[in-house]
Amino acid sequence: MSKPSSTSFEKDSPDISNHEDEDPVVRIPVWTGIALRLALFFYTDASSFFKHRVETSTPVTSWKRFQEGLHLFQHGLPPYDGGVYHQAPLLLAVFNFLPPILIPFLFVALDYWIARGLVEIASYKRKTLQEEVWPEPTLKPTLLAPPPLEEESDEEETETPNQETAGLNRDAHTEQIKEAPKGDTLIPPWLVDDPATLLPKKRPKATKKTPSQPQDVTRPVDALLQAEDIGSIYLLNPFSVMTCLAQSTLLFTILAVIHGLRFAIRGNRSLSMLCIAIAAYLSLYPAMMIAPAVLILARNSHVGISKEMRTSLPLFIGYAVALLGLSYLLIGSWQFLESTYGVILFVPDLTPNIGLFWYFFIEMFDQFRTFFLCVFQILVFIFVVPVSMVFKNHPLFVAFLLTAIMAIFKSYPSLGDTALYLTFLSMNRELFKYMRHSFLVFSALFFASVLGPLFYYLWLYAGSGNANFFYAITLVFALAQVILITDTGFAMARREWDRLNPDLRTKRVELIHR
Amino acid sequence: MDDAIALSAMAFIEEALEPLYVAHRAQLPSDPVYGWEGEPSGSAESFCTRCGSTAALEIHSRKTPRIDPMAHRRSIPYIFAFLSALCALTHTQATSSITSDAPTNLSLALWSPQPDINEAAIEGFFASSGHTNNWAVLVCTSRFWFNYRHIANTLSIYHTVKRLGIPDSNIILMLSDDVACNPRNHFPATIYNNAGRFIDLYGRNVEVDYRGYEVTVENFIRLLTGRHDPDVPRSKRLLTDDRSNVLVYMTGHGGDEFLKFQDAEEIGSHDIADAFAQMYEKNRYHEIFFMIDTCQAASMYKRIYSPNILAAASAEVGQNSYSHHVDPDIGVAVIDRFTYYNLETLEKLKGEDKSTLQQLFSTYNTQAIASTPGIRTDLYPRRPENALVTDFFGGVQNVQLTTAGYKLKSGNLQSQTLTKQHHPSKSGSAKRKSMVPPSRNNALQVHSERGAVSLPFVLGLMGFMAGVWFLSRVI
Repeated sequence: MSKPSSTSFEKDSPDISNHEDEDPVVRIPVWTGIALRLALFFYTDASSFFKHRVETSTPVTSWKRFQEGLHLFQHGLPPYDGGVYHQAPLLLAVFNFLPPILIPFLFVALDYWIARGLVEIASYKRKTLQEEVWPEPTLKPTLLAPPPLEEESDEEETETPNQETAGLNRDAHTEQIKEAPKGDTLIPPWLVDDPATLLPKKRPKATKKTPSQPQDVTRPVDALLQAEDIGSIYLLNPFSVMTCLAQSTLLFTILAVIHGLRFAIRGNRSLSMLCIAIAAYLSLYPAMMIAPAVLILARNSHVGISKEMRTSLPLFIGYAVALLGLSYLLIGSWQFLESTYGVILFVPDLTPNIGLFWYFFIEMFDQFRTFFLCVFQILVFIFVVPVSMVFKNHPLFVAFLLTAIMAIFKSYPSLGDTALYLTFLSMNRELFKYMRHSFLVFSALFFASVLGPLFYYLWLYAGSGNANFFYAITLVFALAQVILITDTGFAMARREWDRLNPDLRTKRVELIHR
Repeated sequence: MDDAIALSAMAFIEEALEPLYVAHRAQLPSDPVYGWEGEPSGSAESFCTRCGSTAALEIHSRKTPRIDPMAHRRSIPYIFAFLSALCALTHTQATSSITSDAPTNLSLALWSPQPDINEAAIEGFFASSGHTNNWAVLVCTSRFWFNYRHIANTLSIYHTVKRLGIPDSNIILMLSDDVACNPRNHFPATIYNNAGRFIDLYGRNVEVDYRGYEVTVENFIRLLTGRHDPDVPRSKRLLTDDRSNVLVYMTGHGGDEFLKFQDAEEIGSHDIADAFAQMYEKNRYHEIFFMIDTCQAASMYKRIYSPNILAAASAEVGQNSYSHHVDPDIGVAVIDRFTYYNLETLEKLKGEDKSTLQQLFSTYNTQAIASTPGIRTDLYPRRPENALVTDFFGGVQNVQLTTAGYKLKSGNLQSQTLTKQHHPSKSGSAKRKSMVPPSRNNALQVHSERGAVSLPFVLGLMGFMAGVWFLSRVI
């Protein structure tokens, strides 16, 4: 607990230290999530319920399949011969000598470890947020007079000569603005259209609960990120609770991804690449997380990205090869490659899940299967480079986008992936005010979360629906996530634009596509 | 004195087996049966005190003749069994002292010790084919009046095998329709296989086991495989053993790999093959002669894969089988060509005929039959030249009383046969090889230790950790 800050209203720079009183959000400690998991593990049979739920267990993360493989392994039989077990060989080594009573504790410990990693990442994010440089606008913004857009034409081409829209709303607005109380009441641009601001009201004081107003009123005011909250957000997210209860081995992947970012934040290149290599070894797709890790490392060590890549990538490849070699030594043959990565890439197992692959490939004719497999797999990987290039100054946002893309487009997604990127989203709360479709997204996510299990039940248990019901809800879920990605991407881009174009912060800007 | 011993042995056997006969209401060898009205003694509602079966002997349309010429033959198996048991008993004692010729064994108590017997004659006396009893399964699968000839075919073969020695108890006759009493029959209660109407096939002494709608694919397969409901009577069961030669004759309408039953279902060639395979598995036959007279009949035997089966068919795949001639008074064809020309040969045989199957096959004239008969011999161990017609069509039992003794030596074919009688061996003989494929355990190498974390892996893991530690320090 840091000392209560004695901040006055007019502080020059925002305080970097942890003001626990500043954040209006109720802070929830991490142990609540842990206690919840332990209670659900040992006092309910929620674990067995979620183990066979299709939303939390996929052919490549299912605990039941893992048990099958472990059993075969422990009896000396090749674990991949059964055709059921598709997970990485080294997981077998982890669980080989573990007494079964400790397994729930292991998964809860994994979740705790993930939460701790997220806390560290969140505090890094908080630090970068506070270190963000928002250039001051050259002109003091005067909102009272309607800014004639045609005269104040700036160098930015993205600003439109709003002649055609000059007649719309603008006149009403200016009239309103004219009626607004004059003085030194400066209305932040995002509250310009808010009718509440038109009423004369006192300027809100900067109390202990709200951060002191920066001098620059055009800079958006964001609630400070509390790192511990992020851990709790992850732990209390129902999706992650379900994933932990289902004992899905996805938690290992998530753990590896989080720690890859965490070690990158600490500047430890080798361990960061090791963790990313472990994540890629377990699930293949997290290999994309090299991009945000490299971005963070480059930023921390103040080297160029290409140079960073030149040092990190060989590490990653080395570690990945070493892991594969260890697996070979464990299994005794290279057979596991076909059963793990072959399954991830070629999708032979079409068990329903919340992803897009299964339905599509059930009805796929064989002569087109290879083509569409290539298309679908390329779709996952193709976003790495563009996203990294656009958001190279925001590596955690890159991490968010890439995890979200993985959660939607990978061959066997589950709710654990969703829980991961939602946690990243919660770190980017400053984007919420720039998002345009948040209501649609969250409504659709909620809607799909409720109807998904319902339609699954209707399809397979009641027999009164069919696969189309479930797949449609899956599509709604994916659509909601896609809109979330695009919206947050837009929000980040918009925010960046606002940051880098100080004079246009108070102007009305329209996005056009040429 | 030896005669007296032999005769007293016979009498002893009869006395010993009498309860068996009485309990099963069989005819004792010495009891004549008088006329139609002679019902066997005993109440109709009695049951066998040994097995509780109430349907031990069903009377079908039993029209027994005044004197049953075959009555004494029914007891022959029992006598033969008893005698062979006796011989086996003495033989086991004899083989214990293989080199000794000292006549101290039981055989000499019964048989006079004169070793100079013409062994070749004796060896040729017993059937060299290895079977001890004959069965016939005769199936007519077609119903309706215009398939008269199929009933006539089946009944012709029925009378042939009966004449040559197979008793009714060893014949399963399946007729899908009763054309004798069909309203269209100008000569009611008769069936003829010739326009000359020389023999009434349905006249006397016909015992139909499966009639009318009882002739179904399921019943046929159940008959062959022996898998019946418990309440199926003995007369409807094929009670063969591993020394039975079985004649399976089928006629009707068929096609490529199917045979139509009753106009509603069909049996496939694979079904027959699998039924024969089950029979082989359960040692339900010694050899089978599968004869089929339908269109494209050769397709029905081509899927058979069990050993010791000989097959003959009226037509090859793609060919039809034709009827022989029509009786204008009856109005339908009365016999099929293939069966007609078979009968021409078979009718000339007598019980002890040594004609071979090859001689029978060589009488097949493709021009006369109007289709190419098919013969399948690849599953049959002997050559048709060495197989007698009566091995399948007759029930020839050679029993002859002799006053001379026969010393059984080891290494003797006959003694092997006799010992095999009571030691149905599953060993050695190639015919009795199990058809279960050897278990394939090549893919699984089950290690004995639990938790196969091998040493190379542990070393590799340690090296890996060391490398990680080192690299994290350096880089």
